[in-house]
Amino acid sequence: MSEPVITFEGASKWYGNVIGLNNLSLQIGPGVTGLLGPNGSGKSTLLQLATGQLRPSQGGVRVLGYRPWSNPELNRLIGLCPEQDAFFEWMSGREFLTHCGWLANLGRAGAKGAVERVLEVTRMTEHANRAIRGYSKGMRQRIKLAQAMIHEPRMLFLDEPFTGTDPIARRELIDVILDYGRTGKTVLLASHVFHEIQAVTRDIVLLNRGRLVAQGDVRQIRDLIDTHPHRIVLRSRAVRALAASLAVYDDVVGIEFKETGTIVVETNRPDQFYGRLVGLALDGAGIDEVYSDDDNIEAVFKYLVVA
Amino acid sequence: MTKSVLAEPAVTVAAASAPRRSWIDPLALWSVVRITAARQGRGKRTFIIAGLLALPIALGMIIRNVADPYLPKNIENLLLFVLIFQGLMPLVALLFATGMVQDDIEEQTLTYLLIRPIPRGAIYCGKLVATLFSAWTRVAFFTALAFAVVYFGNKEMGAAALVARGAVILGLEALALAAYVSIFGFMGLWAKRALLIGAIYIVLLENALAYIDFAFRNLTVMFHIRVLSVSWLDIPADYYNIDPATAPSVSTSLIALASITAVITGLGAWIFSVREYRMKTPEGV
Repeated sequence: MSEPVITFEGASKWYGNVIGLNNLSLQIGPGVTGLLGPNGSGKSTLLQLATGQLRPSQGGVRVLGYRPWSNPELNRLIGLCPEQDAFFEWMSGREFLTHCGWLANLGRAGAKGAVERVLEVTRMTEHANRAIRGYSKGMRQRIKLAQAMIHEPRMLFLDEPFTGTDPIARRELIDVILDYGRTGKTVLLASHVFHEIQAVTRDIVLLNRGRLVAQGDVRQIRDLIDTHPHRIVLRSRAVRALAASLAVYDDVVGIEFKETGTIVVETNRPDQFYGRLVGLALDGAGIDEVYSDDDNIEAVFKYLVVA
Repeated sequence: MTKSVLAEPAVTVAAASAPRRSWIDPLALWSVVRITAARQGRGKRTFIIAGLLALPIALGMIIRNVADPYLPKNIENLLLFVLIFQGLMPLVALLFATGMVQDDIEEQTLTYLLIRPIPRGAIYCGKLVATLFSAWTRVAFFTALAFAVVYFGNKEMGAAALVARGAVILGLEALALAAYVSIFGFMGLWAKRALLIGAIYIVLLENALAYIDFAFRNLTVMFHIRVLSVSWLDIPADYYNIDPATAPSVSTSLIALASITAVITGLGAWIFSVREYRMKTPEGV
């Protein structure tokens, strides 16, 4: 690994009696890195520490050589796409990004140009003048990513940026992140879905219960994960037709109907399955949302931790 | 046991060269002010405040129709200096100021401000300015209406005198609201039941204590506003239990109000700067 840009040195974070991060020592280099862990593993805590929103209870954190806690100098160099689905709902996408540009010290003219640029990159130009409160989940994720990139930060922190998106939006967001990474900037992408991370990087950091479980190449992790059946939740307007179209594939070993409009598909070849979804969506399968059921990845983490 | 599947990277820390600008971008601060003011112009709270501030106007209209003889100065005292100054004005400041940070925490939008290159203290001050603007514009608008209801058709005071008197009243409200907004903004940072504590503060300290002739009342906002009202608006000092011989001078009261505002604002900005605002995520940690 080349020179690390993010360093955690014995960093811990406690929320009262609850441990968010536990004595974490970690170094992350430039490029795109995936931060993988099940719910409650400490991914968001790690990102909030790295972006200076939280102070470590113990140990140290350095990002680009700076201590991140409440550091405006560092904030010029980093961008964050937070997990929470929260916005100034009354604003249009363009107003929101304009304010983000102003807040990032871009000035009026600079912000104006930057807004058009990120709208274009995230393919939100045609929706830019609509109020955010009327956006679909995919649009909200795109505009959230756009605000993180508005000041062209050297480092981008993304917390579950694909949550709730349809397969097409997911593919497009992945392309945006990959393009950003190709410019030589650093991206840290947190997700609990292994295949989302695999789609953007081979460098991966695994967290579980606030501890570093493993760090390394995605293929080694993947071998472990592929031994477990993968459960994928799909929400669709035409759920029965979707189930019928999926049932014909060999890798689909089970389909379970959940609440209205939702199915859980079990597959033993998640790569193929995810790759197929974009085509199905384009063929009008009416897929509104895709997300990974946590159980399978939890099993891998248990395996890794308990070994 | 932990499985590490990658060799340890070199232990060096990348040094970044950030564009160093020590000044605070006014446009960034303006953005904080606009976002906060826009939020405060929305929601149920705005309607509640408008409803409360409309009370003196409605009351004034009723009194005008039934009072005989109609004495504008007495009605002005009741509606403006008792109802608005002592009750509604601090209440409006309380309703706006306790939510100025809390709203962003509850709606999880504070992150968008904290991750920007603006010192946290400046964010707090920007929010305070917006809150003062929100509170003052509403209080001033309804005060002007109440003032018009009280003096409409009055022949005792000329138009110029009425305009001057109205301007002084609105100026006094700005001074009082600046202090109240800083106090209640500060309260909203640390008190869990800030609205309740603030309401108790208004009743006990800003009303009861400010009336009692005791040194402690020098620490209340209302006492100094009353001193200025007596000096600038010719309100009889005994209305407020103030002895002109021992009362502070106008400049002392102005300095006291400015000091209260500055000190409490500084404390609030400091607390806002050192406090962590953890955004709860769906996964909880």
